[in-house]
Amino acid sequence: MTGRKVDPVTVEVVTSGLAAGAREMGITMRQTSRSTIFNEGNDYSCGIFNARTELVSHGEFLPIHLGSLPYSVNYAIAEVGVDHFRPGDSIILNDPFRGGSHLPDVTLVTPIFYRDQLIGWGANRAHHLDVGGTVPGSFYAQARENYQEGLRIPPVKIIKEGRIDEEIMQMILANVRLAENMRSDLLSQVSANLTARRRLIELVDKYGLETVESCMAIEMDNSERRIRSAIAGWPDGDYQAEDSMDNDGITDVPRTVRVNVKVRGDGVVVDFTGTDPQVEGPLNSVLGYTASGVYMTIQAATDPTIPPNGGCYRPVEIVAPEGTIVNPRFPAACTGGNEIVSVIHNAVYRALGEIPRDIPNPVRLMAADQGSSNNLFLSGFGEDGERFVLYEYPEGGWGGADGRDGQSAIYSIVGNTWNLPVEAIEMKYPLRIDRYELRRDSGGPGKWRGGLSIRRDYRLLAPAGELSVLGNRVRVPPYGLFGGHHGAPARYRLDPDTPDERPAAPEFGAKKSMVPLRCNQVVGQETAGGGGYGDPLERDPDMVARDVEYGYISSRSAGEDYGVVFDPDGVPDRRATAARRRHLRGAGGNEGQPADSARDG
Amino acid sequence: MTRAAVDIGGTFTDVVTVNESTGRLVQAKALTTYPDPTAGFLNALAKVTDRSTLETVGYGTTLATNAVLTKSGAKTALLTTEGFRDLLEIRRTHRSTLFDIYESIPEPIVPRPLRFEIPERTAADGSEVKPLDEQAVREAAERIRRAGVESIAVCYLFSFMNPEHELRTRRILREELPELSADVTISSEALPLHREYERTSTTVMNAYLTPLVRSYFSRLRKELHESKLFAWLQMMQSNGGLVRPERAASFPILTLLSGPAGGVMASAYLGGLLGETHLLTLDMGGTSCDVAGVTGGEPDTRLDFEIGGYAVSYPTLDIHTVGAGGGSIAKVDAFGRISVGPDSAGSDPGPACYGRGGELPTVTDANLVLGVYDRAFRLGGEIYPDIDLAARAIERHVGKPLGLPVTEAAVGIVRLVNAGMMHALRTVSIERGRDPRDFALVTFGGAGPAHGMHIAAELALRRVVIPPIPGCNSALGILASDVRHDLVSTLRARMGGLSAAELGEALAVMGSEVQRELDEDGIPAERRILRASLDMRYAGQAYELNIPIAGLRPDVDTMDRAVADFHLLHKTRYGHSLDDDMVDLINVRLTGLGATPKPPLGGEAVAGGEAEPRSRRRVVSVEGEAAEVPVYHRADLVPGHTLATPCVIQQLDSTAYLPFGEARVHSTGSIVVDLP
Repeated sequence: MTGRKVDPVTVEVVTSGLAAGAREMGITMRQTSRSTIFNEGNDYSCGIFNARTELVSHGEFLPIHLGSLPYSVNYAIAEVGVDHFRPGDSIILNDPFRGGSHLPDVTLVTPIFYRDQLIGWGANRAHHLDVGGTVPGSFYAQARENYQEGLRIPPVKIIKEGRIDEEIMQMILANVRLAENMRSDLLSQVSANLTARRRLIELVDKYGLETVESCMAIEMDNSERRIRSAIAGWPDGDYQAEDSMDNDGITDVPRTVRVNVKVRGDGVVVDFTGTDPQVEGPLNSVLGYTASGVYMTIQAATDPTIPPNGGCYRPVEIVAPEGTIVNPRFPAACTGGNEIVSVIHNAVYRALGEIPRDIPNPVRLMAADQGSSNNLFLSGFGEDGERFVLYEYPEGGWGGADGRDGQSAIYSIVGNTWNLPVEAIEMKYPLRIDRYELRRDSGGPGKWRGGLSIRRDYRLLAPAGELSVLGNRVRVPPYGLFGGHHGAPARYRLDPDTPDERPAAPEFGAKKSMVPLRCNQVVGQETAGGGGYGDPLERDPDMVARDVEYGYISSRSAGEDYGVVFDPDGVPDRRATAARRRHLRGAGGNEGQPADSARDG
Repeated sequence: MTRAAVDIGGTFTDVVTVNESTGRLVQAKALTTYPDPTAGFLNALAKVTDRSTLETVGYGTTLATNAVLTKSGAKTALLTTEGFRDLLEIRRTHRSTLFDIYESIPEPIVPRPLRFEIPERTAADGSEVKPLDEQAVREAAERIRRAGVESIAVCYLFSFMNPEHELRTRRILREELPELSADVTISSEALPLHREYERTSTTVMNAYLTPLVRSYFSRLRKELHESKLFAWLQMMQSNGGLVRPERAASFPILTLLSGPAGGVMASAYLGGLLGETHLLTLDMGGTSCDVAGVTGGEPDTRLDFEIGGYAVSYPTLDIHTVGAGGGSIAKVDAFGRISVGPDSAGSDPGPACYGRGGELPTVTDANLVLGVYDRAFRLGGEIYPDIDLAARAIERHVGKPLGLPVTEAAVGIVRLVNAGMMHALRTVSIERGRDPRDFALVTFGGAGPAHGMHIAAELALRRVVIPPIPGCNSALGILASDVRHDLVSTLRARMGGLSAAELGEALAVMGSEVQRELDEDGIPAERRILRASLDMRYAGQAYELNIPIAGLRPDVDTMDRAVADFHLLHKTRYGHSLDDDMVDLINVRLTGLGATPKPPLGGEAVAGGEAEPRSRRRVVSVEGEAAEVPVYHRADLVPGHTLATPCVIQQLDSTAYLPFGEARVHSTGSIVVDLP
């Protein structure tokens, strides 16, 4: 590919132009779409591909989408046939087993032609509020096969030479609950790909096809080289770890992702052999999703300044045995696959944490993040008789890291969406948010504390409605590292802090569909906090005092988890603190576990 | 009569005046004074003008910007709806870099103990859900008093639909805390638009700056009166227009980019005279460097921005700032890595060569050692530099630690500071999908003309423009700017259901408000221009397109045309449009301008042929090669002259270094250099 030498300024201009084009695709999507999940939540990703279907450029979208997006382009070609594309065509798909991720993610793939020659692809993947199936929002927590989870769309042309195929469109819209929104949101996806086409063609007009292709190749080669050079700094070896999800929504036992990261020279093999078999419930991750979980972890662990593109994926080989939760066989239910990606990410990260740290550029590491997308749906019919579905996937805390506390209230690293403004929700939905705040004591205690998660309380204003949740980390909380404690588990309650309070999903913790709600009833969602890093008994007492003053931790946690004793003015008493810490260390009861598991002081 | 413009930079305070009858421009500089810049302001004015003839004095200042960047604004408290004190800290939960797990997010301006929750609630339709707990406000006031808070922000949910609770809260706070009565910002006035995080952040930012900007302005007003100067004062806003300072004192967020806005406006004006519509601007002063883009003759704008990591939802010129200036300090860390900036020596103590006690080497010291700056020429007209002090500082803090001779160390400093500015220019060009090769660079500020050529060459720009008075270009831009008020009012209606009369009523209310503002600015009726526009979107969308409408008295035609224009723009921009019955009007916007006569520049070409250099001196290039080059004095240059390169051009406020290119003097008095 690198047939021609191109001067460095041109390489930078062309590749930055493509990155700007990919970002602009996202702006188009945000500005033209009509669902809150698109235009406030920004739950979509866009990329530009070369003719060989390598991801050349993307913006700061969702890592979980990005690593799997190339699968959609390849399946579009495999199913439609590379000779059957015409200028102006666009292919739609959401089938997880044919290039999709989970059914609500609908992908639009557009071939880009230059004077009748196929020169590249624009593709975007966006989460639609509803794609039919058993429950509003299409996250059926007790689904046992993919057919129950919604409409499955194989790769088909929805736009033919610039014209919408209304028959396919009608077929789709007849199977979803919010048809009018979906139609315009699909048009936004088309517009986004037109943006990609316009930008790529402009660059080819200006610099010539050969130069543009060379620039793409050079940029990807550069990224590949930089990832390889980072990996080459890690000692060769097998680094193993595991992480688990609560259960599969059908049987209440934890399911485990086991990974062996084999560092060999300047490449890695990420081997999932030994991972639990695919499950009956919807908690299976299709291969594209699994690849996303691996790639994003390698990119975060090496060097975040490397331009992200398909070149970053080349040094990474993935072994995911068929029939496991990281590569299920059709027709496994798999809408909760995005939950597994968090487990995959945290398992791979834990394995990378086993790599010796006394090297020039140690793995950029943190303890576990909130480890779930915390999918929550509130649905029903408003007073006007209109169906509503609110999808929330709120943030939590990130893990502590060497030299820094975990970030509070930030989206899990697998995604990068925005929270929905309270005012945007209340203007559109018969709901009121009663509180939205940081959750005290949710960050795992550590020398470097885990980030705090959040609590958000929703009050239903419609006559009646339903709650559906599909999350994790109620039973298996985010792990701490090197003596840091785990983050607080997630919690879902009805009528929180009232005499009627009870768990919203008692059977499986965070997996239940269509819990009936009455008017004025409150649903309280609390996400999991990040894991701690290092022994909390080594945390600077002044930082513990600040955390108490700010209400990030309770004074009980300051005493029990951190061993800090305060004088009557709230200033740490150095001698008493040292004595208490000696006592706590001697007791040996403070290893990897919090002093008290009920952490809602 | 005379108009004056004063630009208060981190190091120098610049002034330019224009005599309205003769068109004569006069410039001067004084050192910026700390902590109170008023003295510098008056010193600069005193140098150039008879104050009795002054009609207006416009000024730009980085006061508010610097307060944010150095975290030296007021100690601020925040009152929020109960259950929502953490909005400011939760932010929007996303990250700007995908894989940088160590990305740092700044601490919120208001720490958690100073965020007070007040029981109250307004619903989405503006109705009251829970009455305001006045006692809770009084208790918060007591704790605010005890905490020594200097300014208060109030942001309740849905106050943009019904400001009643915020208004009552402000009344109570003023009763309880009369000493803070001018320092309460309520969100329904600061930013009456939905999205609670952005509104809270903007309101808090305003509160953070109010005491500082207000006390600065009242000091300035008092001292101007004491020195018998009674001209109209006008302050530069971030949107490139002027406003009277009383308004800026209540809404300092309007002026966050007050300092750099003038330079961009001057560049756009100059570009018009030069026939250049696509410009990148590089304004390198003593402490920082501001870059921006001008496309199609208009400065780029944006609807919101971040400063110091904080969100501010206000329309501004699209200016990016990096910590690179003449005073930027070069240092070498324990690992042998050299860095330049963002720390600056400012004007006190200033670069090592000033001999005022500054011991650390700066970019200015490097330019002096390389011969770009003249050791026998007063920097900024004020200070004779001491080259030995400069060389010693560079040797001690950069040369020795790196094992480099002084000259090579100085070359390294210049190359590094250039790289930082190049990155900023890339942000406003390449990263927006624009090819810098389509742009000309306007380089100014005291230090810009010494650095712009290399940066332009690296980015492959085709042309460099050095304005006639580069060190005072921002002040010139203030002279060239109009008085400007941007009003926005939320209407929220389906276009089909809204009558022309209803829209006309809203415009009439805004029209009289903008007229009142222009009255207070002292703008005569014949110089007023009013422009109305509508923010429209399809039902359910979250972002609007702005559609201009003609006049302030809409009829049925106006409404139909606006809808048609909206469909067309949506289709052009995004490739599709939807049905008529889905078009919503969200906001009505009205801009009121008080047009200002533009300062005349230059004249007809009067000379041909090559200009005469005054002398020659040895200059070391960034490649490290020394050469004897001609030294021109700017005062000797007239339109039509050509210049030999490489060369140095000296003038009072700036020194330009042209290592290559074809240079000539344009009729505007600008130096235009075509790059090879």
